[in-house]
Amino acid sequence: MNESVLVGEHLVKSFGSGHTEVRAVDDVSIEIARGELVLIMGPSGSGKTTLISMLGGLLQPTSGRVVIDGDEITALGESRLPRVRAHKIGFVFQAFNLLEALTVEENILFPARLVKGGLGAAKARGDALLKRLGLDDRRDALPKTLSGGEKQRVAIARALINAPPVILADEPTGNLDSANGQEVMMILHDIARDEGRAVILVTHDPRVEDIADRILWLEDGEFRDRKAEQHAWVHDPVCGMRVDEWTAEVTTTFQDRRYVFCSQRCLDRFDAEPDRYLTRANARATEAHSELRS
Amino acid sequence: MWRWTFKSLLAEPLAILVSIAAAGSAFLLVMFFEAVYEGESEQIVAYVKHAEADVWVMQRGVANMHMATSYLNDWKLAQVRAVPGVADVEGILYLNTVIESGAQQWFAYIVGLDVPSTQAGPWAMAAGRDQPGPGEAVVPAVFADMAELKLGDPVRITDRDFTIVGFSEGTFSMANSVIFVTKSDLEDIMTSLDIVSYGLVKAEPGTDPVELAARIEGAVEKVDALPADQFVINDQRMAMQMGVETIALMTLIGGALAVLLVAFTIYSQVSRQRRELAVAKALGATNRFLYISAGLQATAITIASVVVATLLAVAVMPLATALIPPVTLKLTVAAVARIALVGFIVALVASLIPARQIARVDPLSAFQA
Repeated sequence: MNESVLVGEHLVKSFGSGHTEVRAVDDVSIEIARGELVLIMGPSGSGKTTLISMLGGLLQPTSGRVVIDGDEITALGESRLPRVRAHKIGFVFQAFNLLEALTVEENILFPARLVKGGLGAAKARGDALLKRLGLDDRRDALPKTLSGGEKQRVAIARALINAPPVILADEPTGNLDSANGQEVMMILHDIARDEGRAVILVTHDPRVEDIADRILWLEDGEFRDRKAEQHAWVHDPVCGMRVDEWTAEVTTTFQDRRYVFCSQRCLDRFDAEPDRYLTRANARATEAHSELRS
Repeated sequence: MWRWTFKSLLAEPLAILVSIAAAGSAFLLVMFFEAVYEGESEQIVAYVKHAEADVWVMQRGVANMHMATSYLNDWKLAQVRAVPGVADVEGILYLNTVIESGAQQWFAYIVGLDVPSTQAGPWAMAAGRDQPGPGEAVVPAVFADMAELKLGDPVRITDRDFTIVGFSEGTFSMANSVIFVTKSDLEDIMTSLDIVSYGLVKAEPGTDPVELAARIEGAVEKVDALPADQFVINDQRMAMQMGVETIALMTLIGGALAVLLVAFTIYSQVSRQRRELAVAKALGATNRFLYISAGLQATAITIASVVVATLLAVAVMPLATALIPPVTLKLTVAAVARIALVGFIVALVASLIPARQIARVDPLSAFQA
């Protein structure tokens, strides 16, 4: 395995204290090598964003340590963290978060201006990124004139401008349509493969699984590896749609059994008449089983 | 930093224009007070500046004219005239009092002249004669505008009525306008004979006024003699002591108003930009970077406000002087520089106010969708 560029050891993040204490992240360890693309998945509220924030030096863990490219950032004071973020981490956000008053090129170069002497070298890199991400003819455009896909490509270029060893992306396809989402994912994939950067993606998008090296599932503080090709497909008992049990966000427990749904609407229907839908689901399962046997 | 700082400031041009207009109004107010102060401080000494004297002679212990009382026996002027280096000397009698015409009243210097006066009378006339005769007075032309006076109208000085025979230019001030009457009429009002208040000495060509003043003090008993330059400075200092606190207070109020307006603008700007500030922090911007950015924005707004106020002042003040004759306005480079300094302090204070807000911006909020 390649050298680890990002290490999180026994990370714990608690909010509140005493009876009201909540452990958003509970003793999680993670190690990611250069060139690796890792997905962090899990239901809403499972602590994905808290974890990525600690890995990115935006949130101090209650205990545990984070090492990026040899620097233990959890040992650094608040005043030194911005420099680490500017040099060693590239952030890609779901909401793009471009600076609205700046042009595409100025947005891309913004992090370089935060690094001493970074702008000189960054200009050539910025030109290359603009070309590579198909933004060359949009360099003087303002963010408000860009499509969602273009905005996210600008955000990726911005994340890469200081050539950080680690890219942290939080739901980068969350606000994009299918085609743009696919394009963004392939860009992130290439960044990991071609440039040897560690890319960590927090996402709900199951399409991304195909390009990931590892999938880490986070739920109630438990953290485990998954292989990208594995799913736990089950049927929504109301509409019959196929849903991945591991990534589904709408779930309920009925008579000691867990059911997953494609949407809240289906869950509401189920809650109103559970026996009706369970009967139908059992019939469907029996039928499917018979088809399989024949 | 510069680009982001200024481009984000200009992202909402209407809000910035309103802020500049508001802060500019506060600075204009400060400039107006400064201009009144400068104009009045110049006008208060207009008479002593224009009187043709190289040395002023007065009662010992007196060092100026504004609100002062000085008595000299007039035979002392003969002694002064005999001092080597004195070309001529003219005595004036002088009284601070209130004069009235119709329903109007003014505080005034009444100067009693030995007519025909060559050194102590009005230096510019708008209408009429510059030398009053018995029972006659020369009054500032501004009085004519304010009280619709004409030549031949009466003016009352203490208990005596005088006829206006001339309107003089440059002799009006809100604090002390100058009225010229004959010395004998003023002696009558003051019931004082053979007395003068000041002796206006003209030096022979090539004589140093400082040396001449010392010579006069040595030759004539119980008098003080001051070179004209020093006498003007003393008079101005004394006169302005009375208004300086008021002007300082007004400047403070105007400055505080400007601080509030600029600070409010920067505070609103920081609130509007909260999410972008969080993003900048997440990307690696330090609090120091953001403080400097807010400081630059405050400075830009303040500079723009001071410039707008200065341009407005230059355009409006001549108009204001024409429309309101009693107010003498004078905007000097020094006054503008002082206001720019106040502006710098305003920018500094205004950028400190949102500092806490900036420090509390959580970079984590950049993750909120």
